[in-house]
Amino acid sequence: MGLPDRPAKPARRQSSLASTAYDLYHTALQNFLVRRLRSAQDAQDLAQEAYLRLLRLERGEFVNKPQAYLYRIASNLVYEFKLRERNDPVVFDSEALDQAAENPREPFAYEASERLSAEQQVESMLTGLPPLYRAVLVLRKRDGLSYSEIARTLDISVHTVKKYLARAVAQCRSAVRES
Amino acid sequence: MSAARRETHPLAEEAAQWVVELEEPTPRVLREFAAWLEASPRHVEEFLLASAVWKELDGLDAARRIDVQRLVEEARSNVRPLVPEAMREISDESSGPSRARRRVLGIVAAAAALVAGIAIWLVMATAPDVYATSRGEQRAFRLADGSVVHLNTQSRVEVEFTRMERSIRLLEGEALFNVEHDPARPFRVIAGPTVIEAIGTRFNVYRTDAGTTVSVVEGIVEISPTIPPALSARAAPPPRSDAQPQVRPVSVVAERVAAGEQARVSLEGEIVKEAVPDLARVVAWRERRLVFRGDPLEDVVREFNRYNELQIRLEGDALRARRLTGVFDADDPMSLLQFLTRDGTLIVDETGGDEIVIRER
Repeated sequence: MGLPDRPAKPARRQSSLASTAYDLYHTALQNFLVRRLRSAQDAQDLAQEAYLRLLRLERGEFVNKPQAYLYRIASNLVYEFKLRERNDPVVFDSEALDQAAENPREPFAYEASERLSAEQQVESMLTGLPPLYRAVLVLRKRDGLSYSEIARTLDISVHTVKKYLARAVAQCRSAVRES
Repeated sequence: MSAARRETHPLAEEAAQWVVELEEPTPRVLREFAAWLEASPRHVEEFLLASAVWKELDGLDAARRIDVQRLVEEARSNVRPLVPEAMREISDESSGPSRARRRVLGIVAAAAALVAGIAIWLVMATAPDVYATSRGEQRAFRLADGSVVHLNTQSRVEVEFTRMERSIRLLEGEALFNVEHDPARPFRVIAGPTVIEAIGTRFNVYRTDAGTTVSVVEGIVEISPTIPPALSARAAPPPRSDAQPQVRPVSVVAERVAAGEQARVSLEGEIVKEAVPDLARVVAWRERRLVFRGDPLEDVVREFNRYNELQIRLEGDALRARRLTGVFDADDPMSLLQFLTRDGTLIVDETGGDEIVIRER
Protein backbone atom coordinates (compact mmCIF):
# COMPACT_ATOMS: atom_id res chain seq x y z
CA MET A 1 0.00 0.00 0.00
CA GLY A 2 1.95 2.98 -1.22
CA LEU A 3 0.80 6.51 -0.74
CA PRO A 4 1.11 8.48 -3.93
CA ASP A 5 3.46 11.41 -3.69
CA ARG A 6 1.47 14.54 -3.93
CA PRO A 7 2.35 18.07 -3.04
CA ALA A 8 0.74 19.11 0.19
CA LYS A 9 -1.85 21.79 -0.22
CA PRO A 10 -2.05 24.52 2.35
CA ALA A 11 -4.80 23.69 4.79
CA ARG A 12 -6.04 27.23 4.99
CA ARG A 13 -6.39 29.86 2.37
CA GLN A 14 -5.07 33.36 2.73
CA SER A 15 -7.91 35.24 4.30
CA SER A 16 -9.08 38.75 3.58
CA LEU A 17 -9.21 41.32 6.35
CA ALA A 18 -12.95 40.92 6.73
CA SER A 19 -12.75 37.19 7.14
CA THR A 20 -9.77 37.62 9.45
CA ALA A 21 -11.98 39.63 11.72
CA TYR A 22 -14.50 36.86 11.45
CA ASP A 23 -11.77 34.30 12.20
CA LEU A 24 -10.82 36.31 15.21
CA TYR A 25 -14.33 36.14 16.52
CA HIS A 26 -14.33 32.52 15.66
CA THR A 27 -11.05 31.92 17.47
CA ALA A 28 -12.46 33.62 20.53
CA LEU A 29 -15.51 31.41 20.23
CA GLN A 30 -13.65 28.20 19.98
CA ASN A 31 -11.10 29.08 22.63
CA PHE A 32 -14.01 29.80 24.86
CA LEU A 33 -15.68 26.53 24.01
CA VAL A 34 -12.61 24.36 24.32
CA ARG A 35 -11.83 25.98 27.65
CA ARG A 36 -15.42 25.63 28.74
CA LEU A 37 -15.74 22.00 27.78
CA ARG A 38 -14.90 21.22 31.36
CA SER A 39 -17.42 23.64 32.64
CA ALA A 40 -20.58 22.18 31.23
CA GLN A 41 -22.75 24.96 32.61
CA ASP A 42 -21.12 27.77 30.58
CA ALA A 43 -21.32 25.90 27.32
CA GLN A 44 -24.94 25.07 28.06
CA ASP A 45 -25.85 28.67 28.85
CA LEU A 46 -24.20 29.83 25.67
CA ALA A 47 -25.94 27.17 23.60
CA GLN A 48 -29.29 27.94 25.18
CA GLU A 49 -28.99 31.64 24.41
CA ALA A 50 -27.65 30.97 20.90
CA TYR A 51 -30.57 28.62 20.29
CA LEU A 52 -33.11 31.25 21.28
CA ARG A 53 -31.50 33.86 19.04
CA LEU A 54 -31.29 31.39 16.22
CA LEU A 55 -35.03 30.66 16.42
CA ARG A 56 -35.64 34.39 15.97
CA LEU A 57 -33.84 34.43 12.64
CA GLU A 58 -35.74 34.59 9.43
CA ARG A 59 -36.06 30.97 8.37
CA GLY A 60 -35.09 31.28 4.71
CA GLU A 61 -31.86 33.13 5.49
CA PHE A 62 -30.98 30.69 8.21
CA VAL A 63 -31.46 27.60 6.04
CA ASN A 64 -29.12 29.03 3.40
CA LYS A 65 -26.22 29.46 5.81
CA PRO A 66 -27.11 27.78 9.12
CA GLN A 67 -23.52 27.22 10.18
CA ALA A 68 -22.39 30.79 9.52
CA TYR A 69 -25.38 32.23 11.36
CA LEU A 70 -24.88 30.01 14.35
CA TYR A 71 -21.19 30.91 14.56
CA ARG A 72 -21.99 34.59 14.25
CA ILE A 73 -24.55 34.43 17.04
CA ALA A 74 -22.39 32.34 19.31
CA SER A 75 -19.32 34.50 18.65
CA ASN A 76 -21.24 37.61 19.53
CA LEU A 77 -22.37 35.95 22.70
CA VAL A 78 -18.82 35.05 23.63
CA TYR A 79 -17.70 38.60 22.92
CA GLU A 80 -20.43 39.93 25.16
CA PHE A 81 -19.59 37.35 27.74
CA LYS A 82 -15.92 38.31 27.81
CA LEU A 83 -16.59 42.01 28.03
CA ARG A 84 -19.02 41.40 30.83
CA GLU A 85 -16.43 39.25 32.57
CA ARG A 86 -13.97 42.11 32.54
CA ASN A 87 -16.62 44.57 33.67
CA ASP A 88 -16.12 46.57 30.50
CA PRO A 89 -18.97 48.38 28.89
CA VAL A 90 -20.20 46.56 25.82
CA VAL A 91 -18.75 48.59 22.98
CA PHE A 92 -18.19 47.28 19.55
CA ASP A 93 -15.27 49.10 17.95
CA SER A 94 -14.71 48.04 14.37
CA GLU A 95 -11.35 49.82 14.23
CA ALA A 96 -10.11 47.93 17.26
CA LEU A 97 -11.28 44.78 15.62
CA ASP A 98 -9.33 45.53 12.46
CA GLN A 99 -6.25 46.18 14.55
CA ALA A 100 -6.84 42.95 16.29
CA ALA A 101 -6.94 41.30 12.90
CA GLU A 102 -3.50 42.73 12.06
CA ASN A 103 -2.05 41.68 15.35
CA PRO A 104 -4.30 39.15 16.99
CA ARG A 105 -2.31 38.88 20.17
CA GLU A 106 -2.75 42.40 21.40
CA PRO A 107 -6.33 42.93 22.43
CA PHE A 108 -6.81 39.30 23.26
CA ALA A 109 -3.39 38.79 24.79
CA TYR A 110 -4.59 36.23 27.27
CA GLU A 111 -5.49 33.99 24.42
CA ALA A 112 -1.86 33.20 23.70
CA SER A 113 -1.63 31.03 26.77
CA GLU A 114 -4.97 29.50 26.00
CA ARG A 115 -3.67 28.79 22.55
CA LEU A 116 -0.59 27.05 23.90
CA SER A 117 -2.47 24.75 26.16
CA ALA A 118 -4.83 24.09 23.29
CA GLU A 119 -1.92 22.80 21.21
CA GLN A 120 -0.98 20.45 23.98
CA GLN A 121 -4.58 19.44 24.10
CA VAL A 122 -4.55 18.53 20.43
CA GLU A 123 -1.57 16.27 21.07
CA SER A 124 -3.25 14.54 23.96
CA MET A 125 -6.53 14.24 22.09
CA LEU A 126 -4.79 12.42 19.27
CA THR A 127 -2.96 9.85 21.32
CA GLY A 128 -6.00 7.71 22.00
CA LEU A 129 -7.17 7.53 18.38
CA PRO A 130 -6.76 4.48 16.13
CA PRO A 131 -4.02 5.01 13.52
CA LEU A 132 -6.40 5.27 10.56
CA TYR A 133 -8.44 7.97 12.26
CA ARG A 134 -5.23 9.90 12.81
CA ALA A 135 -4.16 9.34 9.20
CA VAL A 136 -7.47 10.70 7.91
CA LEU A 137 -7.27 13.70 10.22
CA VAL A 138 -3.72 14.54 9.16
CA LEU A 139 -4.56 14.25 5.46
CA ARG A 140 -7.50 16.58 5.94
CA LYS A 141 -6.22 19.08 8.44
CA ARG A 142 -2.54 19.26 7.68
CA ASP A 143 -2.45 18.39 3.99
CA GLY A 144 -5.83 19.92 3.11
CA LEU A 145 -7.04 17.03 0.94
CA SER A 146 -10.69 16.72 -0.05
CA TYR A 147 -12.68 13.74 1.18
CA SER A 148 -12.48 12.00 -2.18
CA GLU A 149 -8.73 12.60 -2.36
CA ILE A 150 -8.34 11.06 1.08
CA ALA A 151 -10.50 8.13 0.04
CA ARG A 152 -8.30 7.52 -2.99
CA THR A 153 -5.09 7.91 -1.02
CA LEU A 154 -6.07 5.42 1.64
CA ASP A 155 -8.07 3.12 -0.62
CA ILE A 156 -11.25 3.45 1.42
CA SER A 157 -14.67 4.88 0.54
CA VAL A 158 -15.66 8.53 1.02
CA HIS A 159 -18.36 7.27 3.38
CA THR A 160 -15.65 5.67 5.53
CA VAL A 161 -13.49 8.81 5.42
CA LYS A 162 -16.37 10.85 6.81
CA LYS A 163 -17.16 8.24 9.39
CA TYR A 164 -13.58 8.12 10.66
CA LEU A 165 -13.41 11.91 10.82
CA ALA A 166 -16.67 12.16 12.73
CA ARG A 167 -15.60 9.48 15.17
CA ALA A 168 -12.25 11.15 15.63
CA VAL A 169 -13.93 14.45 16.43
CA ALA A 170 -16.41 12.83 18.82
CA GLN A 171 -13.63 10.98 20.60
CA CYS A 172 -11.43 14.08 20.80
CA ARG A 173 -14.33 15.92 22.31
CA SER A 174 -14.74 13.29 25.03
CA ALA A 175 -10.99 13.29 25.58
CA VAL A 176 -11.00 17.05 26.19
CA ARG A 177 -13.85 16.78 28.60
CA GLU A 178 -12.25 14.00 30.58
CA SER A 179 -8.70 15.32 30.77
CA MET B 1 -10.19 2.08 22.40
CA SER B 2 -13.56 0.46 22.64
CA ALA B 3 -13.90 2.02 26.04
CA ALA B 4 -13.27 5.46 24.60
CA ARG B 5 -15.71 4.79 21.79
CA ARG B 6 -18.38 3.71 24.22
CA GLU B 7 -18.08 6.90 26.18
CA THR B 8 -18.83 9.17 23.25
CA HIS B 9 -22.37 10.39 23.55
CA PRO B 10 -24.67 9.63 20.60
CA LEU B 11 -25.43 13.35 20.26
CA ALA B 12 -21.72 14.11 20.22
CA GLU B 13 -21.34 11.66 17.35
CA GLU B 14 -24.26 13.22 15.50
CA ALA B 15 -22.80 16.68 15.96
CA ALA B 16 -19.41 15.49 14.75
CA GLN B 17 -21.06 14.01 11.64
CA TRP B 18 -22.61 17.39 10.89
CA VAL B 19 -19.29 19.15 11.29
CA VAL B 20 -17.75 16.73 8.80
CA GLU B 21 -20.67 16.95 6.34
CA LEU B 22 -20.65 20.74 6.41
CA GLU B 23 -17.08 20.82 5.13
CA GLU B 24 -18.39 19.83 1.72
CA PRO B 25 -22.05 20.81 1.98
CA THR B 26 -24.90 20.28 -0.46
CA PRO B 27 -28.16 22.28 -0.28
CA ARG B 28 -29.83 19.21 1.15
CA VAL B 29 -27.21 18.89 3.91
CA LEU B 30 -27.72 22.55 4.80
CA ARG B 31 -31.47 22.14 4.98
CA GLU B 32 -31.30 19.05 7.14
CA PHE B 33 -28.66 20.59 9.34
CA ALA B 34 -30.78 23.70 9.93
CA ALA B 35 -33.70 21.51 10.96
CA TRP B 36 -31.46 19.52 13.25
CA LEU B 37 -30.17 22.67 14.96
CA GLU B 38 -33.66 24.01 15.43
CA ALA B 39 -34.75 20.81 17.09
CA SER B 40 -32.99 21.35 20.40
CA PRO B 41 -30.57 23.60 22.30
CA ARG B 42 -28.67 20.40 23.12
CA HIS B 43 -28.00 20.03 19.40
CA VAL B 44 -26.69 23.57 19.28
CA GLU B 45 -24.43 22.93 22.22
CA GLU B 46 -23.04 19.66 20.89
CA PHE B 47 -22.50 21.16 17.46
CA LEU B 48 -20.61 24.16 18.88
CA LEU B 49 -18.40 21.89 20.94
CA ALA B 50 -17.75 19.55 18.02
CA SER B 51 -16.91 22.44 15.71
CA ALA B 52 -14.62 23.90 18.36
CA VAL B 53 -12.73 20.61 18.43
CA TRP B 54 -12.68 20.52 14.63
CA LYS B 55 -11.25 24.05 14.47
CA GLU B 56 -8.79 23.17 17.17
CA LEU B 57 -7.45 20.43 14.94
CA ASP B 58 -6.49 23.02 12.30
CA GLY B 59 -3.09 23.36 13.85
CA LEU B 60 -2.61 19.62 13.67
CA ASP B 61 1.01 18.63 13.14
CA ALA B 62 2.21 21.95 11.77
CA ALA B 63 5.75 20.64 12.21
CA ARG B 64 4.88 17.79 9.82
CA ARG B 65 6.26 15.12 12.07
CA ILE B 66 3.47 12.64 11.54
CA ASP B 67 4.14 10.08 8.83
CA VAL B 68 0.82 9.09 7.28
CA GLN B 69 2.37 6.11 5.52
CA ARG B 70 3.48 4.78 8.88
CA LEU B 71 0.02 5.27 10.39
CA VAL B 72 -1.47 3.33 7.49
CA GLU B 73 0.99 0.50 7.97
CA GLU B 74 0.30 0.51 11.67
CA ALA B 75 -3.39 0.20 10.91
CA ARG B 76 -3.03 -2.41 8.21
CA SER B 77 -0.79 -4.72 10.18
CA ASN B 78 -1.81 -5.40 13.69
CA VAL B 79 1.40 -5.25 15.65
CA ARG B 80 -0.18 -5.97 18.99
CA PRO B 81 -0.98 -9.68 18.81
CA LEU B 82 1.80 -10.47 16.39
CA VAL B 83 4.60 -11.22 18.80
CA PRO B 84 2.81 -13.29 21.43
CA GLU B 85 0.95 -15.25 18.75
CA ALA B 86 4.11 -15.96 16.84
CA MET B 87 5.88 -17.16 19.98
CA ARG B 88 3.04 -19.44 20.92
CA GLU B 89 3.07 -20.84 17.45
CA ILE B 90 6.79 -21.56 17.62
CA SER B 91 6.65 -23.31 20.98
CA ASP B 92 3.82 -25.49 19.73
CA GLU B 93 5.88 -26.92 16.91
CA SER B 94 7.72 -30.19 17.33
CA SER B 95 11.45 -29.89 16.88
CA GLY B 96 13.73 -31.07 14.11
CA PRO B 97 16.90 -29.71 12.62
CA SER B 98 15.24 -27.30 10.25
CA ARG B 99 12.57 -26.40 12.81
CA ALA B 100 15.17 -25.59 15.43
CA ARG B 101 16.65 -23.05 13.05
CA ARG B 102 13.25 -21.70 12.28
CA ARG B 103 12.60 -21.35 15.96
CA VAL B 104 15.79 -19.37 16.58
CA LEU B 105 15.01 -17.17 13.62
CA GLY B 106 11.48 -16.78 14.88
CA ILE B 107 12.59 -15.72 18.33
CA VAL B 108 15.16 -13.32 16.91
CA ALA B 109 12.47 -11.96 14.67
CA ALA B 110 10.05 -11.63 17.55
CA ALA B 111 12.61 -9.76 19.62
CA ALA B 112 13.47 -7.54 16.69
CA ALA B 113 9.81 -6.82 16.14
CA LEU B 114 9.51 -5.83 19.76
CA VAL B 115 12.36 -3.40 19.44
CA ALA B 116 12.09 -2.06 15.94
CA GLY B 117 8.54 -2.79 14.90
CA ILE B 118 6.87 -4.36 11.99
CA ALA B 119 9.30 -3.42 9.21
CA ILE B 120 12.09 -5.62 10.47
CA TRP B 121 9.61 -8.33 11.21
CA LEU B 122 8.46 -8.49 7.62
CA VAL B 123 12.00 -8.83 6.34
CA MET B 124 13.00 -11.61 8.69
CA ALA B 125 9.75 -13.40 9.19
CA THR B 126 9.75 -17.12 8.70
CA ALA B 127 7.04 -17.85 11.25
CA PRO B 128 3.51 -16.91 10.21
CA ASP B 129 2.29 -13.35 10.55
CA VAL B 130 -0.84 -12.89 12.58
CA TYR B 131 -3.34 -10.15 11.85
CA ALA B 132 -6.26 -9.55 14.15
CA THR B 133 -9.10 -7.14 14.75
CA SER B 134 -10.87 -6.43 18.00
CA ARG B 135 -14.61 -5.99 18.39
CA GLY B 136 -15.95 -3.35 16.07
CA GLU B 137 -12.66 -2.97 14.21
CA GLN B 138 -11.98 -3.63 10.54
CA ARG B 139 -8.76 -3.49 8.63
CA ALA B 140 -7.30 -4.36 5.28
CA PHE B 141 -3.76 -5.32 4.42
CA ARG B 142 -1.83 -6.22 1.34
CA LEU B 143 0.15 -9.44 1.38
CA ALA B 144 3.61 -9.91 -0.09
CA ASP B 145 2.17 -11.32 -3.35
CA GLY B 146 -0.16 -8.32 -3.83
CA SER B 147 -3.28 -10.11 -2.63
CA VAL B 148 -5.46 -8.07 -0.31
CA VAL B 149 -7.18 -9.33 2.82
CA HIS B 150 -10.04 -7.37 4.38
CA LEU B 151 -10.56 -8.45 7.96
CA ASN B 152 -13.92 -7.98 9.60
CA THR B 153 -14.63 -7.42 13.28
CA GLN B 154 -13.21 -9.87 15.88
CA SER B 155 -11.26 -11.83 13.33
CA ARG B 156 -7.83 -13.35 13.19
CA VAL B 157 -5.74 -14.74 10.35
CA GLU B 158 -2.32 -16.26 10.22
CA VAL B 159 -0.43 -15.74 6.99
CA GLU B 160 2.36 -17.96 5.81
CA PHE B 161 3.90 -17.74 2.37
CA THR B 162 6.47 -20.17 1.10
CA ARG B 163 7.94 -20.76 -2.34
CA MET B 164 5.38 -23.48 -2.91
CA GLU B 165 2.17 -22.08 -1.56
CA ARG B 166 0.37 -19.19 0.00
CA SER B 167 -1.41 -20.35 3.09
CA ILE B 168 -3.77 -18.37 5.29
CA ARG B 169 -5.46 -19.70 8.37
CA LEU B 170 -8.71 -18.06 9.34
CA LEU B 171 -8.54 -18.69 13.07
CA GLU B 172 -11.66 -16.72 13.86
CA GLY B 173 -14.21 -14.43 12.25
CA GLU B 174 -14.57 -13.27 8.67
CA ALA B 175 -12.31 -12.16 5.86
CA LEU B 176 -12.64 -11.12 2.24
CA PHE B 177 -9.80 -12.19 -0.03
CA ASN B 178 -8.73 -10.51 -3.25
CA VAL B 179 -6.30 -13.00 -4.65
CA GLU B 180 -3.46 -12.20 -7.06
CA HIS B 181 -3.11 -14.76 -9.79
CA ASP B 182 -0.06 -17.00 -9.35
CA PRO B 183 -0.45 -20.51 -10.80
CA ALA B 184 2.87 -21.61 -9.32
CA ARG B 185 1.76 -20.94 -5.78
CA PRO B 186 -1.76 -21.98 -4.86
CA PHE B 187 -3.60 -19.67 -2.50
CA ARG B 188 -5.20 -21.65 0.32
CA VAL B 189 -7.44 -20.46 3.09
CA ILE B 190 -7.77 -22.91 5.95
CA ALA B 191 -10.78 -22.42 8.21
CA GLY B 192 -10.76 -25.13 10.86
CA PRO B 193 -11.29 -28.39 8.99
CA THR B 194 -12.07 -26.65 5.71
CA VAL B 195 -9.60 -25.80 2.99
CA ILE B 196 -10.49 -23.27 0.31
CA GLU B 197 -8.19 -23.09 -2.66
CA ALA B 198 -8.32 -20.22 -5.08
CA ILE B 199 -6.47 -19.09 -8.12
CA GLY B 200 -6.95 -15.42 -8.96
CA THR B 201 -10.31 -14.70 -7.41
CA ARG B 202 -12.29 -12.76 -4.83
CA PHE B 203 -14.15 -14.55 -2.08
CA ASN B 204 -15.43 -14.12 1.44
CA VAL B 205 -14.97 -16.63 4.26
CA TYR B 206 -17.00 -16.42 7.45
CA ARG B 207 -16.21 -18.83 10.24
CA THR B 208 -18.66 -19.38 13.11
CA ASP B 209 -19.10 -22.02 15.78
CA ALA B 210 -21.41 -23.92 13.45
CA GLY B 211 -19.07 -24.07 10.48
CA THR B 212 -17.76 -21.98 7.62
CA THR B 213 -19.54 -20.10 4.84
CA VAL B 214 -17.62 -19.39 1.65
CA SER B 215 -19.10 -16.89 -0.82
CA VAL B 216 -17.43 -16.37 -4.16
CA VAL B 217 -17.60 -12.92 -5.73
CA GLU B 218 -15.29 -13.56 -8.70
CA GLY B 219 -13.62 -16.64 -10.16
CA ILE B 220 -13.76 -20.16 -8.79
CA VAL B 221 -12.61 -21.75 -5.56
CA GLU B 222 -12.31 -25.37 -4.59
CA ILE B 223 -13.39 -26.43 -1.13
CA SER B 224 -12.24 -29.55 0.64
CA PRO B 225 -13.92 -30.22 3.93
CA THR B 226 -10.94 -31.76 5.69
CA ILE B 227 -7.37 -30.60 5.91
CA PRO B 228 -4.99 -33.13 4.51
CA PRO B 229 -2.40 -33.68 7.28
CA ALA B 230 0.36 -32.77 4.88
CA LEU B 231 -1.09 -29.28 4.74
CA SER B 232 -1.54 -28.86 8.45
CA ALA B 233 2.14 -29.53 9.06
CA ARG B 234 3.16 -26.23 7.69
CA ALA B 235 6.90 -26.41 8.18
CA ALA B 236 7.39 -28.32 4.97
CA PRO B 237 4.34 -27.90 2.78
CA PRO B 238 4.57 -30.32 -0.12
CA PRO B 239 4.38 -29.08 -3.67
CA ARG B 240 0.97 -29.35 -5.19
CA SER B 241 1.80 -32.41 -7.29
CA ASP B 242 2.30 -34.67 -4.26
CA ALA B 243 -0.25 -32.98 -2.06
CA GLN B 244 -1.80 -36.42 -1.57
CA PRO B 245 -2.58 -36.71 2.13
CA GLN B 246 -0.64 -39.36 4.04
CA VAL B 247 -3.69 -40.29 6.09
CA ARG B 248 -6.79 -40.18 3.98
CA PRO B 249 -9.25 -37.85 5.64
CA VAL B 250 -12.78 -39.02 6.38
CA SER B 251 -14.29 -37.14 3.47
CA VAL B 252 -12.36 -35.68 0.60
CA VAL B 253 -15.18 -34.64 -1.66
CA ALA B 254 -13.91 -31.39 -3.06
CA GLU B 255 -16.54 -28.95 -4.28
CA ARG B 256 -16.04 -26.26 -6.85
CA VAL B 257 -17.81 -23.05 -6.07
CA ALA B 258 -18.12 -20.37 -8.73
CA ALA B 259 -18.86 -16.67 -8.68
CA GLY B 260 -22.34 -15.96 -7.40
CA GLU B 261 -22.43 -19.15 -5.37
CA GLN B 262 -21.82 -19.85 -1.75
CA ALA B 263 -21.06 -22.99 0.17
CA ARG B 264 -21.77 -23.74 3.79
CA VAL B 265 -19.44 -26.26 5.31
CA SER B 266 -20.56 -27.84 8.56
CA LEU B 267 -18.10 -28.95 11.22
CA GLU B 268 -18.72 -32.51 10.07
CA GLY B 269 -17.48 -31.64 6.60
CA GLU B 270 -20.84 -31.55 4.88
CA ILE B 271 -20.96 -29.00 2.06
CA VAL B 272 -24.20 -27.33 1.03
CA LYS B 273 -23.97 -25.24 -2.11
CA GLU B 274 -26.46 -22.53 -3.02
CA ALA B 275 -26.76 -19.44 -5.15
CA VAL B 276 -26.03 -16.11 -3.44
CA PRO B 277 -29.13 -13.97 -3.98
CA ASP B 278 -27.25 -10.73 -3.56
CA LEU B 279 -23.48 -10.53 -3.90
CA ALA B 280 -23.32 -6.93 -2.70
CA ARG B 281 -24.72 -8.12 0.57
CA VAL B 282 -21.86 -10.55 1.07
CA VAL B 283 -19.28 -7.77 1.06
CA ALA B 284 -21.48 -5.06 2.59
CA TRP B 285 -19.64 -5.50 5.87
CA ARG B 286 -16.68 -3.61 4.40
CA GLU B 287 -18.85 -0.49 4.60
CA ARG B 288 -19.94 -1.53 8.09
CA ARG B 289 -23.43 -2.07 6.78
CA LEU B 290 -25.54 -4.95 7.98
CA VAL B 291 -28.02 -6.11 5.37
CA PHE B 292 -30.85 -8.45 6.32
CA ARG B 293 -33.43 -9.99 4.02
CA GLY B 294 -36.00 -11.89 6.04
CA ASP B 295 -33.37 -13.23 8.39
CA PRO B 296 -34.28 -14.65 11.81
CA LEU B 297 -33.84 -12.10 14.59
CA GLU B 298 -31.42 -14.46 16.28
CA ASP B 299 -28.97 -14.09 13.36
CA VAL B 300 -29.55 -10.36 13.20
CA VAL B 301 -28.66 -9.92 16.85
CA ARG B 302 -25.60 -12.14 16.53
CA GLU B 303 -24.34 -9.90 13.71
CA PHE B 304 -24.80 -6.76 15.79
CA ASN B 305 -23.09 -8.36 18.76
CA ARG B 306 -20.02 -9.07 16.65
CA TYR B 307 -19.42 -5.35 16.23
CA ASN B 308 -20.39 -3.82 19.54
CA GLU B 309 -19.47 -3.90 23.18
CA LEU B 310 -23.15 -3.50 23.85
CA GLN B 311 -24.57 -7.02 23.66
CA ILE B 312 -28.18 -7.76 22.84
CA ARG B 313 -29.86 -10.89 24.17
CA LEU B 314 -33.22 -12.24 22.99
CA GLU B 315 -35.54 -14.12 25.29
CA GLY B 316 -38.06 -16.59 23.90
CA ASP B 317 -37.96 -18.86 20.84
CA ALA B 318 -40.76 -17.05 19.06
CA LEU B 319 -38.84 -13.80 19.30
CA ARG B 320 -35.63 -15.38 18.09
CA ALA B 321 -37.43 -16.78 15.07
CA ARG B 322 -39.02 -13.48 14.02
CA ARG B 323 -37.93 -12.41 10.56
CA LEU B 324 -36.42 -9.07 9.82
CA THR B 325 -35.54 -7.14 6.68
CA GLY B 326 -33.50 -3.98 6.81
CA VAL B 327 -30.18 -2.25 6.35
CA PHE B 328 -28.37 -1.04 9.45
CA ASP B 329 -25.19 0.64 10.50
CA ALA B 330 -23.19 -2.09 12.22
CA ASP B 331 -21.99 0.35 14.88
CA ASP B 332 -25.44 1.47 15.83
CA PRO B 333 -27.30 -1.24 17.73
CA MET B 334 -29.66 1.41 19.10
CA SER B 335 -31.13 1.81 15.63
CA LEU B 336 -32.07 -1.86 15.68
CA LEU B 337 -33.69 -1.46 19.09
CA GLN B 338 -35.66 1.52 17.86
CA PHE B 339 -36.77 -0.43 14.84
CA LEU B 340 -37.83 -3.40 16.95
CA THR B 341 -39.71 -1.47 19.59
CA ARG B 342 -41.66 0.79 17.27
CA ASP B 343 -44.79 -1.37 17.30
CA GLY B 344 -44.83 -1.69 21.09
CA THR B 345 -44.94 -5.48 21.27
CA LEU B 346 -41.46 -5.82 22.75
CA ILE B 347 -39.92 -4.89 26.07
CA VAL B 348 -36.35 -3.69 26.17
CA ASP B 349 -34.56 -4.18 29.45
CA GLU B 350 -31.52 -1.91 29.65
CA THR B 351 -30.74 -2.40 33.31
CA GLY B 352 -27.91 -4.84 32.65
CA GLY B 353 -25.18 -2.31 31.78
CA ASP B 354 -23.49 -3.66 28.66
CA GLU B 355 -26.25 -6.18 28.04
CA ILE B 356 -29.68 -5.38 26.72
CA VAL B 357 -32.41 -7.99 27.01
CA ILE B 358 -35.39 -8.02 24.65
CA ARG B 359 -38.51 -10.05 25.32
CA GLU B 360 -42.05 -10.14 24.09
CA ARG B 361 -44.62 -8.23 26.04
